[in-house]
Amino acid sequence: MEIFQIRVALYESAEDNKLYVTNRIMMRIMQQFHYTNDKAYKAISSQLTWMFKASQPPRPRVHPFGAYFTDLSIETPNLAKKLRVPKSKIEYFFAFEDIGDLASIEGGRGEHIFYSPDDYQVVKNRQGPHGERIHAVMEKEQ
Amino acid sequence: MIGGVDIVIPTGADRRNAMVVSLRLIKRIWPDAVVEDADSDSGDKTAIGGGALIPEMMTDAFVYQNSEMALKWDELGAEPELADTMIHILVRNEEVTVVVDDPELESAQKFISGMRSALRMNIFAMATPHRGAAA
Repeated sequence: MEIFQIRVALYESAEDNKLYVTNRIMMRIMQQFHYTNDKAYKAISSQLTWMFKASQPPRPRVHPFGAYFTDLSIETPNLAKKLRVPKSKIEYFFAFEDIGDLASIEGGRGEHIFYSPDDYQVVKNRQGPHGERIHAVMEKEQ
Repeated sequence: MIGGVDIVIPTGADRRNAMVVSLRLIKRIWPDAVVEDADSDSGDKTAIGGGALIPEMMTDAFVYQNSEMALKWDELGAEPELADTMIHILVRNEEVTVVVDDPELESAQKFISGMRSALRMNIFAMATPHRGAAA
């Protein structure tokens, strides 16, 4: 009975609230993130289907050629240090639904860092929030 | 979107001891090293040794060459000018992952070879018999 009442309350709420609930549900489903800089963000976000290009991580060439992702969310403490990238490379983010098709890297960081050996496409219905990371963190905190 | 080299070292040591061994080895190479809990958002850095306690549950740590380098990492992240000034340690069941910029650089080489020797000996995993136990 209580659950039913909560559902009714949600469906009867204002349009803004419905959107808020929908966004919250989407944020829970979204498991993978791609962080990047201004230039790459503009290039990827301009396409209907997001295309993350596979490339060779910087020298020394130890990690496999691929497109890299993480399930570490936008507000993760020490994000740049964990990914071991300059802060400029985490200024922008893409979030999308994880469908379990990414490989993890070897070792402890493999719990959170994943890759696709080929270019990786994310179609519209898997796409989630994206934009400037700091702004998104501030919005979440409010 | 990934940097560094991940070196996985198998060990029989438990997590706490693996972290203590790692920090002790780094201290020999970087006498002024400071450590930060990677999962904390406090930004606090602690000097290794000198009676300072390492948090009991810390399994992910950033260890910096010194406090000056730690501040630069906070400001910039992994810029090339900061190469070989921070080691990321992740202790897990039966393995320690060490993330460095380049395992061929001198301090990284010293640390990794020291880690391999110490953790493979498994001296920290040995059970200590209680006094009075039957022979």
